[in-house]
Amino acid sequence: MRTFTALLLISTSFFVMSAAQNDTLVVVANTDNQTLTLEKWQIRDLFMGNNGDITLEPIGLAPSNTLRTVFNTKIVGLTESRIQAYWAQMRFSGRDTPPTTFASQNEALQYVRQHKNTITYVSASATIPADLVIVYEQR
Amino acid sequence: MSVKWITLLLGGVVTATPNARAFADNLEISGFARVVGGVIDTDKAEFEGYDERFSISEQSLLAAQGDLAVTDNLSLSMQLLAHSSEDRDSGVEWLYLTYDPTAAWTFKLGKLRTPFFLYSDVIDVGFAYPWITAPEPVYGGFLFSNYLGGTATYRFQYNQAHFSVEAYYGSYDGTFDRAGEETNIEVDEIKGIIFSAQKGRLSARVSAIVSSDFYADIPGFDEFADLLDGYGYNDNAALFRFDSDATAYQASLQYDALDYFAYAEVINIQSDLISVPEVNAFYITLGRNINDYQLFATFASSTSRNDIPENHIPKGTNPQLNSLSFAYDEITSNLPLYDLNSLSLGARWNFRYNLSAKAEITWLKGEPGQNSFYSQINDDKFNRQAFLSQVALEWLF
Repeated sequence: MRTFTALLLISTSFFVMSAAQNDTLVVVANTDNQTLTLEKWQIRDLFMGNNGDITLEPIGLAPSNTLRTVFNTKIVGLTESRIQAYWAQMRFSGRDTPPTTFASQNEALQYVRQHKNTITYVSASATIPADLVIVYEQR
Repeated sequence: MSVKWITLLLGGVVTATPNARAFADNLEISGFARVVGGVIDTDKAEFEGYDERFSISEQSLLAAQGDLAVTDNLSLSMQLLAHSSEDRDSGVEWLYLTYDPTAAWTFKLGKLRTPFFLYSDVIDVGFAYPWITAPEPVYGGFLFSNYLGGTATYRFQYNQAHFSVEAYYGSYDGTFDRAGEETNIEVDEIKGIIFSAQKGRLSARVSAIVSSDFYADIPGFDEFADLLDGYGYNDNAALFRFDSDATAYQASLQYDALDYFAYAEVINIQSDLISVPEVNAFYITLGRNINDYQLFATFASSTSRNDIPENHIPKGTNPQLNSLSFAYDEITSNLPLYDLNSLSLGARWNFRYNLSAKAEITWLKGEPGQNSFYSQINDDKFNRQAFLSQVALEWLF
């Protein structure tokens, strides 16, 4: 039974990684700057708490969301546990707090539409509301 | 700055929040917990409090943190900690105000964690680092966990790199951990500066901290120093007083990729204090991420020496000077030293995004005759070599 559980967990991990490899995403922002485009490193830094000159509030998805795994893999370049470890270090040393997260991309999109100067990521196959600006498209 | 003064200040801020509903809306509760079990393969010594019987009482803990947003750029944070070890205090670990006037500047005031080294201010948050016990040669002692004071942090960006400069100032009144030995100390002035840089997967940190104006409660030292001063041996007397500085320097590099990581940190402690030796220490960690699993190896090493003034007290002139001179030799030749090499192999399984199971085995090779960070040595003939085995469960909430 223990062997079966371990195999199930390992195969589930591979399935999630495989989904992460295949899915693509776009990054959208609620901004007045209709021509704004961002580089991959800028989005990575923004979602890891290094805003720099970009004054956009990052909105993420919950750790259970598969699209978050895609984002972690393709944009941030870190595992979920490393990202959690990083934010634990930031939060419990009083330096920073992680981005606000929502369970689904629809909820994240709705929040971003309602709040100026926010940014989130969605699946490339999602319908992007006309009032949001696509600032990055994964190729 | 007293604890009472800070408590009054923070209490005033909480009272200023508009009403109960706003209080609840603006309050965020988070926390962390760890259950750590360990055992050492010898009955001749103890390490980190572990002996030859498996114990979960040395490093297990539970902490809850409340962050209250008072206004858009003013917040109050408090962290309560319950620790299983008798050597660690439980209670308020953090209590401070944060003021962010702009995105570039942050100011904090209150009871804060002392950020000596890379992981010093999150040393209780096991989820934040790969090890179960952070490398002992670097994190094993000479540190105090918190201080009363303030910090100012400035952040800026240049090209694709992010930088921050953090300066802090304060004082400490509490205990001082010297590889398992607790000494009551007061440090009237702590000042430090931290430079951090991050670009992509690479991050670096360089820091310095100076602790001045010590008072250490070591019975007999003041009286001994007075006697030596009375005979005019001021250099030798100064060794037993605590009016000089201890300075710690640190540099670290971290490289994190999706499937592997490499961390290195080096420290140097300079000290004129009898209770703090001069220490050089470092560790190197290489690790591999395989889906939800992590494997790593860490090599750490420390060397230490005590900077002792030459004994100018003559022997054979009169009985009292004779006994003082021998006492001086006796004390200074028995000061503990902390040379230690350690090699750790560890595995971590992140079975949920906020839960990790860890296992770690560490080979400890100290120097015969030295303390070598062992918290207790039961047999003088012990060769200072042992295996420490640990398992842990880390939880974030």
